[in-house]
Amino acid sequence: MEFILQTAFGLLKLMALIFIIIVPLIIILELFRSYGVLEKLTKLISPLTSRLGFEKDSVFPLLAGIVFGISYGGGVLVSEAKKGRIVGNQAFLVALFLALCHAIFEDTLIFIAQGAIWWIVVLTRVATAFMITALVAIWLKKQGHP
Amino acid sequence: MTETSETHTSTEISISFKESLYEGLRQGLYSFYTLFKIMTPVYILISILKEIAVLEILAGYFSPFMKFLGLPGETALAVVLGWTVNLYAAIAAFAGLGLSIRQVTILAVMLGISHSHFMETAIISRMKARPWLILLIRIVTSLFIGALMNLILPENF
Repeated sequence: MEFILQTAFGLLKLMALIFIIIVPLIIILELFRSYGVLEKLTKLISPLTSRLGFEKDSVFPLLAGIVFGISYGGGVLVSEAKKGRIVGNQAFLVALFLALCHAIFEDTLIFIAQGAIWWIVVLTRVATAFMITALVAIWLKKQGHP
Repeated sequence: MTETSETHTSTEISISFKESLYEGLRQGLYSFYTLFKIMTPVYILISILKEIAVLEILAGYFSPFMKFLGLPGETALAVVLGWTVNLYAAIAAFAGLGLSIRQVTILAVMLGISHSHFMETAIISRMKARPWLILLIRIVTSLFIGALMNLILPENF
């Protein structure tokens, strides 16, 4: 009996935490999406991203994935690539970065609720994605792929 | 104010604040329902395994490997569930284990880098971006970063 009560209480606490994170977060992200917050942000940070070797048209799918998740970012990437705006290794590098680092708000928040330290999680994940993507980009250049 | 000009997805033409609020709420509740259906059985299963001391036995097999990551053997199940199912299944699997802040932080980074591989590899293959190479990079990177964090982070968090 004690086991059942304990499990039920633990589960209730866990699901309550998830609820108070997920529902408001998705509402905020939906508002972001309908007000085109990312489009504005893309323009704002393009000087930085171009220095990292990302071309301008790659930045929007990149940000979309970092904020909204890999399926949304991936969808944007595919549609941009079809329009011929993202060519060659750019698409691969965007996909690689996104695979390592996406849905940063959602993923971080749900782990913070379990006790994780947010700035370590965010910094380590973003820095890792940058480093791995940069290493692979350098390697591809050496292989002679533009 | 209601105009969303030049969105890249171009499906929505004009959405009011109230409409997107409602849409967000609808999506949020639906997502919660989906997560609830995954997390509940995982949490109950792990609790039962712990109660009947099977988790302890399983943990024993994994602990020599998990200790390089600074994690107890019990969390191996969470890592496997994170890789195969998703982060929510992983969280349900370790939520009842009483992990330290340090351990949850390491898990957060490792699983953040590497998770939901069945679903996400399918998404990446749609991007035509060498999905198997990316999968390999994700798994290797996450193990490397986990071990590195275990070396760097102070013991008493």
